Amino acid sequence: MRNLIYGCLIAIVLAACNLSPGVEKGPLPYLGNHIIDPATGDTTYHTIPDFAFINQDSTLVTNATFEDKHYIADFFFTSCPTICPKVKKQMLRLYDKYEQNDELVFLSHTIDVKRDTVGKLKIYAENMGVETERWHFVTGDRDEIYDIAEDYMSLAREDPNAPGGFDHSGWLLLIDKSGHIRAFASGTEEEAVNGLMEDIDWLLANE
Amino acid sequence: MKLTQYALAFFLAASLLACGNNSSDATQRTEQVEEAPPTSVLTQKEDQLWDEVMELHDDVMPKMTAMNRLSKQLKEAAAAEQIPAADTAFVSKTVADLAAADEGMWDWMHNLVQLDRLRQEKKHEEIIKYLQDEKVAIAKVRTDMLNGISTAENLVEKLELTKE
Repeated sequence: MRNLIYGCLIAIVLAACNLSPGVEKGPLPYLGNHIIDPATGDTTYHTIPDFAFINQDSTLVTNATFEDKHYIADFFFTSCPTICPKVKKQMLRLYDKYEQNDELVFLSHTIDVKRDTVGKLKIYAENMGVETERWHFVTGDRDEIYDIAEDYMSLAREDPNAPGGFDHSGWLLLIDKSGHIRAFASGTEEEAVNGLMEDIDWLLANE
Repeated sequence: MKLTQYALAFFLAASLLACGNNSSDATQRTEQVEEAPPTSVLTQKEDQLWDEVMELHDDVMPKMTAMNRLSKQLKEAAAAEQIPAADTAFVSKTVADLAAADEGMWDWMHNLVQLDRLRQEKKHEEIIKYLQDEKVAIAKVRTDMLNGISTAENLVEKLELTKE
């Protein structure tokens, strides 16, 4: 009886601390709108569509740029007064943590293409002290960026907690080497980004 | 006579001194009344005003996606010739209003000076004036956005355009 009570107490403490002995981060789900073939029942996982943008070095950035790399995607603009500075801080945490791992890179899309020119993105990146090879700040056609933002955020239709819009959300999305969305987190919350780090660790270790 | 002159001089001197003292007291009182409030009070006022400005901004910024979707929906319907002739002018005006509201928000954000920089460059009174002006400006942006969205939503409903 005493052992049972002790067992319950330990379980309650572990649950309260969100810890489980021997339970590690499991396989990451595939997020987004999947297509199920009615004939075969095969599922085609949602994949980020083809894109072509220009980065801070005036280099073309496409899906091929991220071949054999996982990446963190976000949407921002350099004059954002409230959300973006918080997200930038969390993105820099990720950048610093995975500095030695060339399998993880970063892709930040500006949603203010009129003002965030290549030159401005260059200065922005330089002020942050980040390397283009690891962190692309891209601009391009406004409609194309907005369309792809909608695609990244399409997982909202399935998950009520998922990003609802790119305009003021500060969401960070983890995309795997095959272009699938595998995890997301609010880039304004340190705790949420800590959780995303666990997802990244799992992805880097397993895929 | 001399005694009278000395007495008069003494009286005048005493009066002047007394006046001087009164004047000094008055100055001190004035200084006490006009003494600037502590820096913490000033920054608190600036913070409060900044928060009020940001509250207006944060209220409508998340609606930028919806505004963009509505605009795209109307433009695509127009391109596909789904708009009755009688409504085309109003659709065009609505799309233009949405674009202007969108641009108004981007422009406002782009030109806004952050509070840290304001404090480096301006005096308290100037900061308050600046933030009051920005509050008026962002309130207008907010109104333009909400009006544009409301009009576009009614139009989409009236024209029975397929929602994405």
